[in-house]
Amino acid sequence: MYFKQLTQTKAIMAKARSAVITRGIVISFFALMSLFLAFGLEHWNYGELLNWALANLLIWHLMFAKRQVTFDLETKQIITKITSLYTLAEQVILINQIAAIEFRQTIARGNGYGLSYDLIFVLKGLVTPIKFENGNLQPMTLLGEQISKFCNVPMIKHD
Amino acid sequence: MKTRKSCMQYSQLPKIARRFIQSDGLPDQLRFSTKQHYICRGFAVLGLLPLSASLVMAVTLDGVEQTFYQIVVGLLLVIVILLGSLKHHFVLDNSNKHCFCQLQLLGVFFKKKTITSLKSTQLLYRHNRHDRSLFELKIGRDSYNTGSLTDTMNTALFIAQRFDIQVNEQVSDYPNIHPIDISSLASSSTESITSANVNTQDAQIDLVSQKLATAENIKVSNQVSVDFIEPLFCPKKLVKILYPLPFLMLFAVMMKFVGGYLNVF
Repeated sequence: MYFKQLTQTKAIMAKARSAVITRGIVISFFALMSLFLAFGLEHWNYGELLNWALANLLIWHLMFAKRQVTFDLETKQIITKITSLYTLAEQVILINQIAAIEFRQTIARGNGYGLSYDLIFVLKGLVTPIKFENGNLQPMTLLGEQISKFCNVPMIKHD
Repeated sequence: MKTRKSCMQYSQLPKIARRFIQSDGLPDQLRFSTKQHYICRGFAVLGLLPLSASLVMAVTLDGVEQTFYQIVVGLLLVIVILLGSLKHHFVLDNSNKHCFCQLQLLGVFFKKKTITSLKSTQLLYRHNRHDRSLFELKIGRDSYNTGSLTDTMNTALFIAQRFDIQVNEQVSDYPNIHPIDISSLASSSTESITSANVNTQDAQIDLVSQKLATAENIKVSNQVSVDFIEPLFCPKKLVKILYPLPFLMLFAVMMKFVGGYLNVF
């Protein structure tokens, strides 16, 4: 996901086109397979039907689940939405609540080599900071700089 | 001599700080265990697992297998002992007025690395990045958890009294870093020791923020303070994942009855 400014007051986190296409191809393969199976469902009992439905639930979420982040300067909000055709979860952060953008080192969890870093929003008065994104230090610093410039919030560089 | 008397002793350090500040080099040197130090210790502990397993094998088996495991035990023992006794310290040195990283193995000191002067080194205390009710102390490249603000201030005071080092704080006026001088640090930390320890932290924060009440503070205060932000995911919300399931099940049952007519294959 990378930062993309749409207008003067609006920005989103956009996905790379290649990632979207790859996901579409892989998931549509599975979806076609389960549809193909559906034509033979008349011979199945109800237990097996439930299994089919559960497998399709997984495919559904693999296909449609996505995270949408909107930076809106007019309403002064950062809205994080997780949707999969319907809304799963939503979080609204007011920009003027953010005291600073910070980084913290975390244990790498299978995202390539090296250490991984969290980009966190430190909210005023809140004990636990809110994690926004995780990745290598260089892309995270770039993202932090873009967000801090767009939303006009201070950023503390990782040392 | 007067300054010596007012100095904090090593034994007065909070317990949490004595974990990473070593007493051996005092009073001239102060040694901090670095991250590499803890990584080596971690690997030594991990190495104990195969060591104990092969030790059992070396005792219970016989013949060629026994000799094999005896050799393995010998090799692992050497590795574990070396890793366990390896010490990597960040050292503040008063005699030469500089600080450096140094590796130490079984009493042998290795070459000093990344030597910088004490003047250019900073001591910074700030909020912990995971839990902002706790604090951490940053010196050199590493930062150490020091628990409450009182403990952190005491540790900073302990270091600042011995070494000519600049203490900064990032607590009262959060994103900005302010230098803080030893006398104010000493007075505030002793006050907090004598006062009742129930609300020491709050009292501390108020005390420091009063001292640093500047125009910048007023600017920051028009930010909205929050008590609670709903986390993105909580167990209750996870139930929402199952919402499409009834429809999928309905489709499956429908296909069970109608599917036969649609089957073109």
